[in-house]
Amino acid sequence: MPHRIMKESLNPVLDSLADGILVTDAQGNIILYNQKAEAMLDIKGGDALGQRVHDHIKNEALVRLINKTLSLNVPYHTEEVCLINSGDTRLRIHVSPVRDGTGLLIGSVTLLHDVAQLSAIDKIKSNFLSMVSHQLKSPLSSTILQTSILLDGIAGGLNEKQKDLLQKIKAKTKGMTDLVNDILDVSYIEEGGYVAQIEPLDLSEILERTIDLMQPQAQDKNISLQIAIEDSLPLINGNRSSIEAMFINLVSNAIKYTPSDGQVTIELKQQGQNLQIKVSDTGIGIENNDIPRIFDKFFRERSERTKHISGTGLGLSIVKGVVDAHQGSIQVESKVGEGATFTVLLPIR
Amino acid sequence: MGEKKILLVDDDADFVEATKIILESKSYDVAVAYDGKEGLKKVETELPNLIILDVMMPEINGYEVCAKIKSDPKYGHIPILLLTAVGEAISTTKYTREMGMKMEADDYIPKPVEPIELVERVENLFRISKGKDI
Repeated sequence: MPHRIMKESLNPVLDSLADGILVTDAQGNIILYNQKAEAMLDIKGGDALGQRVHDHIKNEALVRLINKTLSLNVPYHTEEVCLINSGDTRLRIHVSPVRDGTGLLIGSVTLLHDVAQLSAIDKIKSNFLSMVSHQLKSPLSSTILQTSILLDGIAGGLNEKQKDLLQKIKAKTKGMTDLVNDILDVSYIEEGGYVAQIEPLDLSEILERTIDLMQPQAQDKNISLQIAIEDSLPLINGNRSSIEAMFINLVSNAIKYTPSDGQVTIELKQQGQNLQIKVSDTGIGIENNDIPRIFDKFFRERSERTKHISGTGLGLSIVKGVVDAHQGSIQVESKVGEGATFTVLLPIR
Repeated sequence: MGEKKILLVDDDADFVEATKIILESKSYDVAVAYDGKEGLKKVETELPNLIILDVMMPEINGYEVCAKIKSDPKYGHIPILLLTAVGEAISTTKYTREMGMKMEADDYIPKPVEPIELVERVENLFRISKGKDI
């Protein structure tokens, strides 16, 4: 009876995993969890089984994600990714809906991964990257200026072939500058640099300015930007430069991954105790398998669909870093070929 | 009226050389300094009509140099254009502009710089300061 043996050994198997697992039914009752999840979420004993998630789990962000996963009945809604801090542990959680053979939602499964140690290693790497980047920036800046001098004819006339080659040199050098700038942003966020300067911010003003900056990029591809910003929103405490970086990356990504003549929708509104920023596009979407990794540094989908799109693979990790620094959350919903929606919640304090 | 003199302060020799070529092509007289300390000295010895100042310099950074010059009654009137190399998208927004302004710089330009833009900013600063200079 192999099936029976499997069942009996399931608990020891789950308990021996390094990650936490928490399973609920469609009503949000806890039906299974392993020892790791018990420790990570501070669930007491076996009495949590059969109980509602929000009665036994203190972390609001996790409860919210589970409830959202269970309440959203959209076929392309695959996974929620979020970082939560509880005590000394820093957890990365993935919540996925569980469906039966007919596609009916029967529950949710949450994976909890401790990233505290990874965070420490990341910090060392960040310091190193920051130092290297500063050393890289100066020569790149000079090279661009020198190339511009040649191209602008300040140092004498050029033939077409020479101009063409110089333009290519300049474009490549600019691409490298973008990469270095992104690396600096990432390492600055990870060093906690942005948290140092916090002020009350009017997000609508920052968002409007970001959109102004992005308009030329959208117009180049004939993409229409639909903007819905709620009036008289409360201020939030945050870091202006980093919020700008977050908006710029979200909007420019949406434009970048949307083919010509598409549409990008940007919404900003109050949602309970949070401000909600939602950026949706009609672009190429994200492969299901890739969703858990899109916030990883340097991760880029490498396929036929994306090979003509240039980027550093750092934009979303910058966004994630900013969201985390503001104790917010970010969710993504996407289906290949039907666009992607990024929803950021930032708490009002 | 003689040539206008611009003092260029930046620790990157290649950048200084390239910027000098651009400014000289527009018939400006260019004096150079390779760090903040030398820059402050050259303000006194060269008496420039305008200063282009890099922010990221070792020891005394551009903000400090700018604040020192601006608080000096003898040289505070000299227009200053601050150059910085922070992330382009972020730096071109109002916030970092204001950061530069707080140090009382007269204008601010992010690196990498385009020659045409640099010349425009310089000409613009001369236009504005013309009314003030006696």
